[in-house]
Amino acid sequence: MKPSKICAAVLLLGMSSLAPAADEPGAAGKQEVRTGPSIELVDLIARVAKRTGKQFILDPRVSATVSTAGLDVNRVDYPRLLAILRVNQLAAYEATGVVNVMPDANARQFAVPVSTEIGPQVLDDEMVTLVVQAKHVCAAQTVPVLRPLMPQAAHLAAFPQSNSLIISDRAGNARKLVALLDLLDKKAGDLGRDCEPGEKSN
Amino acid sequence: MPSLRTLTLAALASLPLAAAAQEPAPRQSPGSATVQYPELVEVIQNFSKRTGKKFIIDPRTRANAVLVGIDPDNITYEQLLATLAVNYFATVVQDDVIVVVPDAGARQLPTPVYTDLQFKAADDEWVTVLLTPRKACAAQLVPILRPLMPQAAHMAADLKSGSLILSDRAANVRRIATLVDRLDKAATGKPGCEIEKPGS
Repeated sequence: MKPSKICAAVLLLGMSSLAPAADEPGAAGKQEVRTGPSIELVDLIARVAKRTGKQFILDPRVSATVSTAGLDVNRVDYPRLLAILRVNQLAAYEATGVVNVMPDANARQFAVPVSTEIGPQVLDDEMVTLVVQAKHVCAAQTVPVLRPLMPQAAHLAAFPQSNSLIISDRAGNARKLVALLDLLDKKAGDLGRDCEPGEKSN
Repeated sequence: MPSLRTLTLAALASLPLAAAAQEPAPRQSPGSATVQYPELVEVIQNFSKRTGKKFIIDPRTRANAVLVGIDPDNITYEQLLATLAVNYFATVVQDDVIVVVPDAGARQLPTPVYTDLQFKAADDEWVTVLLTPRKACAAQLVPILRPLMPQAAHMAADLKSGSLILSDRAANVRRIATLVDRLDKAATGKPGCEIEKPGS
Protein backbone atom coordinates (compact mmCIF):
# COMPACT_ATOMS: atom_id res chain seq x y z
CA MET A 1 0.00 0.00 0.00
CA LYS A 2 1.27 3.49 -0.80
CA PRO A 3 2.13 5.79 2.09
CA SER A 4 -0.55 8.28 1.01
CA LYS A 5 -3.18 5.52 1.13
CA ILE A 6 -2.04 4.45 4.58
CA CYS A 7 -2.28 8.07 5.71
CA ALA A 8 -5.83 8.25 4.37
CA ALA A 9 -6.72 4.96 6.04
CA VAL A 10 -5.26 6.06 9.36
CA LEU A 11 -7.11 9.35 9.07
CA LEU A 12 -10.37 7.51 8.37
CA LEU A 13 -9.77 5.13 11.24
CA GLY A 14 -9.08 8.04 13.53
CA MET A 15 -12.25 9.78 12.46
CA SER A 16 -14.45 6.71 12.81
CA SER A 17 -13.18 5.97 16.31
CA LEU A 18 -13.44 9.64 17.26
CA ALA A 19 -17.11 10.03 16.39
CA PRO A 20 -18.56 7.39 18.76
CA ALA A 21 -16.01 8.33 21.40
CA ALA A 22 -17.58 11.77 21.59
CA ASP A 23 -20.99 10.22 22.24
CA GLU A 24 -20.01 7.47 24.65
CA PRO A 25 -16.45 7.61 25.90
CA GLY A 26 -16.39 3.98 27.02
CA ALA A 27 -16.93 2.58 23.50
CA ALA A 28 -13.53 3.55 22.08
CA GLY A 29 -11.98 0.17 22.95
CA LYS A 30 -14.62 -1.74 20.99
CA GLN A 31 -13.95 0.29 17.87
CA GLU A 32 -10.31 -0.75 17.89
CA VAL A 33 -11.26 -4.40 17.86
CA ARG A 34 -13.54 -3.92 14.89
CA THR A 35 -11.07 -2.08 12.73
CA GLY A 36 -8.10 -4.12 13.97
CA PRO A 37 -5.18 -5.43 11.92
CA SER A 38 -5.73 -6.37 8.30
CA ILE A 39 -3.90 -7.98 5.40
CA GLU A 40 -4.06 -7.46 1.65
CA LEU A 41 -5.84 -10.39 0.00
CA VAL A 42 -2.93 -10.89 -2.43
CA ASP A 43 -0.54 -11.29 0.50
CA LEU A 44 -2.89 -13.73 2.19
CA ILE A 45 -3.10 -15.81 -1.00
CA ALA A 46 0.70 -15.74 -1.26
CA ARG A 47 0.94 -17.19 2.24
CA VAL A 48 -1.56 -19.94 1.44
CA ALA A 49 0.34 -20.63 -1.79
CA LYS A 50 3.60 -21.02 0.09
CA ARG A 51 2.15 -23.37 2.67
CA THR A 52 -0.03 -25.53 0.42
CA GLY A 53 2.19 -25.50 -2.66
CA LYS A 54 -0.82 -24.41 -4.75
CA GLN A 55 -0.36 -21.98 -7.62
CA PHE A 56 -2.76 -19.08 -8.20
CA ILE A 57 -3.72 -16.90 -11.14
CA LEU A 58 -5.61 -13.80 -10.07
CA ASP A 59 -8.05 -11.69 -12.02
CA PRO A 60 -6.55 -8.16 -12.13
CA ARG A 61 -9.70 -6.91 -10.36
CA VAL A 62 -8.99 -9.10 -7.34
CA SER A 63 -8.08 -6.71 -4.58
CA ALA A 64 -9.44 -6.60 -1.08
CA THR A 65 -8.29 -5.95 2.44
CA VAL A 66 -9.10 -8.76 4.83
CA SER A 67 -9.55 -8.04 8.50
CA THR A 68 -7.37 -10.44 10.46
CA ALA A 69 -9.32 -10.13 13.69
CA GLY A 70 -9.39 -13.63 15.16
CA LEU A 71 -7.49 -14.95 12.15
CA ASP A 72 -3.94 -16.29 12.21
CA VAL A 73 -2.70 -15.37 8.72
CA ASN A 74 -0.07 -18.09 8.89
CA ARG A 75 -2.67 -20.76 9.53
CA VAL A 76 -5.28 -19.94 6.91
CA ASP A 77 -5.80 -23.14 4.92
CA TYR A 78 -7.38 -23.57 1.49
CA PRO A 79 -11.00 -24.12 2.69
CA ARG A 80 -10.71 -21.03 4.91
CA LEU A 81 -9.25 -19.02 2.02
CA LEU A 82 -12.24 -20.00 -0.15
CA ALA A 83 -14.57 -18.74 2.57
CA ILE A 84 -12.65 -15.46 2.78
CA LEU A 85 -12.90 -15.11 -0.99
CA ARG A 86 -16.65 -15.75 -0.82
CA VAL A 87 -17.31 -12.96 1.65
CA ASN A 88 -15.31 -10.66 -0.64
CA GLN A 89 -17.53 -11.57 -3.64
CA LEU A 90 -14.77 -13.62 -5.21
CA ALA A 91 -14.66 -17.24 -6.28
CA ALA A 92 -11.90 -19.70 -7.08
CA TYR A 93 -11.69 -22.91 -9.02
CA GLU A 94 -8.85 -25.32 -9.53
CA ALA A 95 -8.09 -26.54 -13.04
CA THR A 96 -4.94 -28.22 -14.39
CA GLY A 97 -3.25 -27.70 -11.04
CA VAL A 98 -3.78 -23.94 -10.94
CA VAL A 99 -6.31 -22.05 -8.83
CA ASN A 100 -8.05 -19.26 -10.77
CA VAL A 101 -9.46 -16.44 -8.66
CA MET A 102 -12.15 -14.25 -10.22
CA PRO A 103 -15.13 -12.10 -9.19
CA ASP A 104 -17.96 -14.48 -8.29
CA ALA A 105 -20.24 -13.07 -10.98
CA ASN A 106 -18.15 -15.31 -13.26
CA ALA A 107 -18.41 -18.33 -10.99
CA ARG A 108 -21.17 -20.16 -12.84
CA GLN A 109 -19.06 -19.97 -15.99
CA PHE A 110 -16.23 -21.90 -14.36
CA ALA A 111 -15.76 -25.19 -16.18
CA VAL A 112 -16.22 -27.37 -13.10
CA PRO A 113 -16.97 -31.01 -13.95
CA VAL A 114 -20.64 -32.07 -14.08
CA SER A 115 -21.83 -34.49 -11.42
CA THR A 116 -25.12 -35.91 -10.16
CA GLU A 117 -24.22 -35.70 -6.49
CA ILE A 118 -21.77 -33.82 -4.29
CA GLY A 119 -19.09 -36.05 -2.82
CA PRO A 120 -18.23 -35.63 0.86
CA GLN A 121 -14.70 -34.50 -0.06
CA VAL A 122 -15.97 -31.44 -1.95
CA LEU A 123 -15.29 -28.27 0.06
CA ASP A 124 -18.30 -26.14 1.01
CA ASP A 125 -17.06 -23.15 -0.97
CA GLU A 126 -16.01 -25.00 -4.11
CA MET A 127 -18.20 -24.51 -7.16
CA VAL A 128 -20.21 -27.48 -8.45
CA THR A 129 -22.32 -28.15 -11.53
CA LEU A 130 -25.09 -30.64 -10.79
CA VAL A 131 -27.80 -32.39 -12.76
CA VAL A 132 -30.53 -33.55 -10.40
CA GLN A 133 -33.36 -35.83 -11.42
CA ALA A 134 -36.79 -35.18 -9.92
CA LYS A 135 -39.02 -38.25 -9.56
CA HIS A 136 -42.40 -36.98 -8.37
CA VAL A 137 -42.32 -33.17 -8.33
CA CYS A 138 -42.15 -31.14 -11.53
CA ALA A 139 -38.61 -29.81 -11.81
CA ALA A 140 -39.86 -26.61 -13.47
CA GLN A 141 -42.25 -25.90 -10.59
CA THR A 142 -39.45 -26.06 -8.01
CA VAL A 143 -37.39 -23.33 -9.71
CA PRO A 144 -39.34 -20.31 -8.40
CA VAL A 145 -39.53 -22.00 -4.98
CA LEU A 146 -35.80 -22.70 -4.66
CA ARG A 147 -34.14 -19.96 -6.71
CA PRO A 148 -34.47 -17.27 -3.98
CA LEU A 149 -32.36 -19.50 -1.73
CA MET A 150 -29.39 -19.08 -4.07
CA PRO A 151 -27.06 -16.13 -4.65
CA GLN A 152 -27.61 -14.11 -7.78
CA ALA A 153 -24.39 -15.36 -9.34
CA ALA A 154 -25.59 -18.98 -9.10
CA HIS A 155 -27.73 -20.77 -11.67
CA LEU A 156 -30.83 -22.94 -11.36
CA ALA A 157 -32.83 -24.12 -14.34
CA ALA A 158 -35.23 -26.94 -15.15
CA PHE A 159 -35.35 -29.03 -18.30
CA PRO A 160 -38.95 -30.27 -18.47
CA GLN A 161 -38.33 -32.97 -21.09
CA SER A 162 -36.23 -34.99 -18.66
CA ASN A 163 -37.74 -33.45 -15.50
CA SER A 164 -34.28 -32.52 -14.27
CA LEU A 165 -32.68 -29.50 -12.64
CA ILE A 166 -29.33 -27.91 -13.36
CA ILE A 167 -27.62 -26.36 -10.36
CA SER A 168 -24.46 -24.27 -10.47
CA ASP A 169 -23.52 -22.93 -7.06
CA ARG A 170 -21.11 -23.40 -4.18
CA ALA A 171 -21.18 -26.96 -2.85
CA GLY A 172 -22.41 -25.97 0.62
CA ASN A 173 -25.48 -24.22 -0.74
CA ALA A 174 -26.03 -26.85 -3.43
CA ARG A 175 -26.17 -29.51 -0.69
CA LYS A 176 -28.96 -27.53 0.98
CA LEU A 177 -30.91 -27.27 -2.29
CA VAL A 178 -30.52 -30.96 -3.08
CA ALA A 179 -31.68 -31.84 0.45
CA LEU A 180 -34.75 -29.62 0.03
CA LEU A 181 -35.52 -31.07 -3.37
CA ASP A 182 -35.23 -34.62 -2.00
CA LEU A 183 -37.67 -33.73 0.79
CA LEU A 184 -40.15 -32.15 -1.65
CA ASP A 185 -39.84 -35.16 -3.91
CA LYS A 186 -40.37 -37.60 -1.07
CA LYS A 187 -43.41 -35.70 0.22
CA ALA A 188 -44.97 -35.62 -3.24
CA GLY A 189 -44.28 -39.34 -3.59
CA ASP A 190 -45.89 -40.06 -0.19
CA LEU A 191 -48.97 -38.15 -1.33
CA GLY A 192 -49.02 -40.21 -4.51
CA ARG A 193 -48.56 -37.15 -6.73
CA ASP A 194 -46.56 -37.19 -9.90
CA CYS A 195 -45.52 -34.69 -12.52
CA GLU A 196 -47.92 -35.13 -15.44
CA PRO A 197 -46.52 -34.59 -18.95
CA GLY A 198 -48.81 -31.57 -19.53
CA GLU A 199 -47.68 -29.94 -16.28
CA LYS A 200 -43.99 -30.02 -17.10
CA SER A 201 -43.85 -26.89 -19.18
CA ASN A 202 -45.60 -24.80 -16.52
CA MET B 1 -22.05 -2.19 -29.77
CA PRO B 2 -18.94 -4.21 -30.68
CA SER B 3 -16.83 -1.08 -30.84
CA LEU B 4 -18.16 0.02 -27.47
CA ARG B 5 -17.30 -3.36 -25.98
CA THR B 6 -13.81 -3.14 -27.41
CA LEU B 7 -13.42 0.27 -25.87
CA THR B 8 -14.48 -0.93 -22.45
CA LEU B 9 -12.13 -3.85 -22.83
CA ALA B 10 -9.26 -1.59 -23.76
CA ALA B 11 -10.05 0.55 -20.75
CA LEU B 12 -10.14 -2.53 -18.51
CA ALA B 13 -6.86 -3.74 -19.93
CA SER B 14 -5.15 -0.46 -19.19
CA LEU B 15 -6.33 -0.46 -15.57
CA PRO B 16 -4.13 -3.27 -14.29
CA LEU B 17 -1.28 -1.74 -16.27
CA ALA B 18 -1.56 1.42 -14.23
CA ALA B 19 -1.91 -0.55 -11.02
CA ALA B 20 1.18 -2.59 -11.73
CA ALA B 21 3.21 0.47 -12.63
CA GLN B 22 3.00 1.41 -8.96
CA GLU B 23 4.55 -1.82 -7.80
CA PRO B 24 6.57 -3.51 -10.53
CA ALA B 25 8.87 -5.50 -8.26
CA PRO B 26 7.89 -9.01 -7.16
CA ARG B 27 6.57 -9.03 -3.63
CA GLN B 28 7.75 -11.58 -1.16
CA SER B 29 7.65 -11.60 2.57
CA PRO B 30 8.78 -14.48 4.78
CA GLY B 31 6.26 -17.32 4.88
CA SER B 32 4.62 -16.37 1.59
CA ALA B 33 5.09 -17.28 -2.05
CA THR B 34 6.23 -14.75 -4.64
CA VAL B 35 3.60 -12.55 -6.23
CA GLN B 36 4.58 -11.45 -9.74
CA TYR B 37 2.97 -8.97 -12.11
CA PRO B 38 4.49 -9.77 -15.53
CA GLU B 39 3.30 -8.21 -18.80
CA LEU B 40 1.25 -10.80 -20.70
CA VAL B 41 3.14 -10.17 -23.92
CA GLU B 42 6.47 -10.75 -22.19
CA VAL B 43 5.23 -14.01 -20.68
CA ILE B 44 4.15 -15.15 -24.16
CA GLN B 45 7.50 -14.08 -25.66
CA ASN B 46 9.48 -16.01 -23.08
CA PHE B 47 7.27 -19.06 -23.49
CA SER B 48 7.66 -18.89 -27.27
CA LYS B 49 11.45 -18.68 -27.02
CA ARG B 50 11.53 -21.65 -24.67
CA THR B 51 9.15 -23.94 -26.57
CA GLY B 52 9.39 -22.76 -30.18
CA LYS B 53 5.60 -22.27 -30.38
CA LYS B 54 4.46 -19.47 -32.66
CA PHE B 55 2.02 -16.78 -31.56
CA ILE B 56 0.07 -14.00 -33.26
CA ILE B 57 -0.88 -11.45 -30.62
CA ASP B 58 -3.66 -8.91 -30.92
CA PRO B 59 -2.27 -5.42 -30.19
CA ARG B 60 -4.93 -5.02 -27.47
CA THR B 61 -3.30 -7.83 -25.47
CA ARG B 62 -1.98 -5.49 -22.83
CA ALA B 63 -2.34 -6.41 -19.22
CA ASN B 64 -0.27 -7.48 -16.29
CA ALA B 65 -0.94 -10.96 -15.02
CA VAL B 66 -1.10 -11.56 -11.28
CA LEU B 67 0.72 -14.82 -10.60
CA VAL B 68 1.15 -16.30 -7.13
CA GLY B 69 3.68 -19.10 -6.79
CA ILE B 70 4.04 -19.40 -10.57
CA ASP B 71 7.34 -18.55 -12.22
CA PRO B 72 6.45 -16.66 -15.43
CA ASP B 73 9.73 -17.83 -17.01
CA ASN B 74 8.83 -21.47 -16.51
CA ILE B 75 5.11 -21.24 -17.15
CA THR B 76 3.50 -24.28 -18.79
CA TYR B 77 1.25 -24.10 -21.87
CA GLU B 78 -1.88 -24.80 -19.79
CA GLN B 79 -0.88 -22.19 -17.21
CA LEU B 80 -0.22 -19.62 -19.94
CA LEU B 81 -3.67 -20.20 -21.47
CA ALA B 82 -5.30 -20.04 -18.03
CA THR B 83 -3.52 -16.76 -17.31
CA LEU B 84 -4.79 -15.31 -20.58
CA ALA B 85 -8.30 -16.59 -19.83
CA VAL B 86 -8.40 -15.01 -16.38
CA ASN B 87 -7.47 -11.71 -18.07
CA TYR B 88 -10.29 -12.12 -20.63
CA PHE B 89 -8.13 -13.10 -23.58
CA ALA B 90 -8.83 -16.10 -25.77
CA THR B 91 -6.44 -18.40 -27.57
CA VAL B 92 -7.35 -19.94 -30.90
CA VAL B 93 -5.12 -22.56 -32.47
CA GLN B 94 -4.82 -22.14 -36.24
CA ASP B 95 -2.54 -24.80 -37.74
CA ASP B 96 0.78 -24.30 -35.97
CA VAL B 97 0.08 -20.74 -34.83
CA ILE B 98 -1.67 -19.69 -31.62
CA VAL B 99 -3.73 -16.52 -31.99
CA VAL B 100 -4.29 -14.40 -28.87
CA VAL B 101 -7.22 -11.94 -28.93
CA PRO B 102 -9.55 -10.24 -26.42
CA ASP B 103 -12.15 -12.95 -25.82
CA ALA B 104 -15.08 -10.83 -27.10
CA GLY B 105 -13.86 -11.48 -30.65
CA ALA B 106 -12.92 -15.13 -30.26
CA ARG B 107 -16.13 -16.66 -31.61
CA GLN B 108 -15.66 -14.81 -34.89
CA LEU B 109 -12.31 -16.46 -35.54
CA PRO B 110 -11.84 -19.65 -37.54
CA THR B 111 -11.56 -22.18 -34.72
CA PRO B 112 -11.47 -25.94 -35.18
CA VAL B 113 -15.00 -27.44 -35.44
CA TYR B 114 -15.79 -30.69 -33.68
CA THR B 115 -18.90 -32.86 -33.65
CA ASP B 116 -18.01 -35.35 -30.96
CA LEU B 117 -16.85 -34.92 -27.41
CA GLN B 118 -13.58 -36.76 -27.77
CA PHE B 119 -11.86 -33.75 -29.32
CA LYS B 120 -8.33 -33.02 -28.22
CA ALA B 121 -7.87 -29.41 -27.19
CA ALA B 122 -6.26 -27.81 -24.15
CA ASP B 123 -8.81 -26.65 -21.56
CA ASP B 124 -8.55 -22.96 -22.41
CA GLU B 125 -8.30 -23.22 -26.20
CA TRP B 126 -11.31 -21.77 -28.02
CA VAL B 127 -13.32 -24.34 -30.01
CA THR B 128 -16.60 -24.61 -31.91
CA VAL B 129 -18.69 -27.73 -31.38
CA LEU B 130 -21.88 -28.97 -33.02
CA LEU B 131 -24.02 -31.23 -30.85
CA THR B 132 -27.10 -33.17 -31.95
CA PRO B 133 -29.12 -34.52 -29.03
CA ARG B 134 -31.19 -37.61 -29.84
CA LYS B 135 -34.35 -36.72 -27.93
CA ALA B 136 -33.92 -33.41 -26.13
CA CYS B 137 -35.26 -30.27 -27.80
CA ALA B 138 -32.20 -28.20 -28.68
CA ALA B 139 -34.12 -24.91 -28.63
CA GLN B 140 -35.28 -25.55 -25.05
CA LEU B 141 -31.72 -26.23 -23.94
CA VAL B 142 -30.44 -22.80 -24.96
CA PRO B 143 -32.11 -20.65 -22.26
CA ILE B 144 -31.21 -23.05 -19.46
CA LEU B 145 -27.58 -23.61 -20.47
CA ARG B 146 -26.56 -20.27 -21.95
CA PRO B 147 -26.14 -18.63 -18.49
CA LEU B 148 -23.37 -21.15 -17.78
CA MET B 149 -21.29 -19.69 -20.59
CA PRO B 150 -19.41 -16.37 -20.62
CA GLN B 151 -20.84 -13.47 -22.58
CA ALA B 152 -18.11 -13.83 -25.17
CA ALA B 153 -19.21 -17.40 -25.94
CA HIS B 154 -21.97 -18.44 -28.32
CA MET B 155 -24.80 -20.95 -28.09
CA ALA B 156 -27.61 -21.37 -30.59
CA ALA B 157 -30.05 -24.05 -31.67
CA ASP B 158 -30.97 -25.01 -35.21
CA LEU B 159 -34.58 -26.20 -35.31
CA LYS B 160 -34.57 -28.29 -38.48
CA SER B 161 -31.54 -30.36 -37.58
CA GLY B 162 -32.19 -30.22 -33.83
CA SER B 163 -28.56 -29.24 -33.27
CA LEU B 164 -26.75 -26.96 -30.88
CA ILE B 165 -23.81 -24.80 -31.86
CA LEU B 166 -21.37 -24.00 -29.05
CA SER B 167 -18.40 -21.69 -29.25
CA ASP B 168 -16.39 -21.36 -26.04
CA ARG B 169 -13.25 -22.51 -24.27
CA ALA B 170 -12.79 -26.28 -24.59
CA ALA B 171 -13.21 -27.05 -20.87
CA ASN B 172 -16.54 -25.25 -20.67
CA VAL B 173 -17.75 -26.76 -23.95
CA ARG B 174 -17.00 -30.19 -22.45
CA ARG B 175 -19.04 -29.28 -19.37
CA ILE B 176 -22.01 -27.99 -21.39
CA ALA B 177 -21.85 -31.02 -23.66
CA THR B 178 -21.86 -33.32 -20.62
CA LEU B 179 -24.96 -31.53 -19.34
CA VAL B 180 -26.66 -31.86 -22.73
CA ASP B 181 -25.78 -35.55 -22.74
CA ARG B 182 -27.19 -36.12 -19.23
CA LEU B 183 -30.42 -34.24 -20.01
CA ASP B 184 -30.77 -35.99 -23.34
CA LYS B 185 -30.37 -39.45 -21.82
CA ALA B 186 -33.02 -38.71 -19.19
CA ALA B 187 -35.49 -37.19 -21.68
CA THR B 188 -38.80 -38.98 -22.07
CA GLY B 189 -41.56 -38.79 -24.65
CA LYS B 190 -41.23 -37.98 -28.31
CA PRO B 191 -37.91 -36.68 -29.63
CA GLY B 192 -37.79 -33.04 -30.70
CA CYS B 193 -39.65 -29.93 -29.62
CA GLU B 194 -43.33 -30.94 -29.88
CA ILE B 195 -45.18 -30.02 -26.71
CA GLU B 196 -47.09 -32.95 -25.29
CA LYS B 197 -50.74 -32.25 -24.55
CA PRO B 198 -52.13 -33.78 -21.38
CA GLY B 199 -53.95 -36.98 -22.15
CA SER B 200 -52.57 -37.28 -25.69
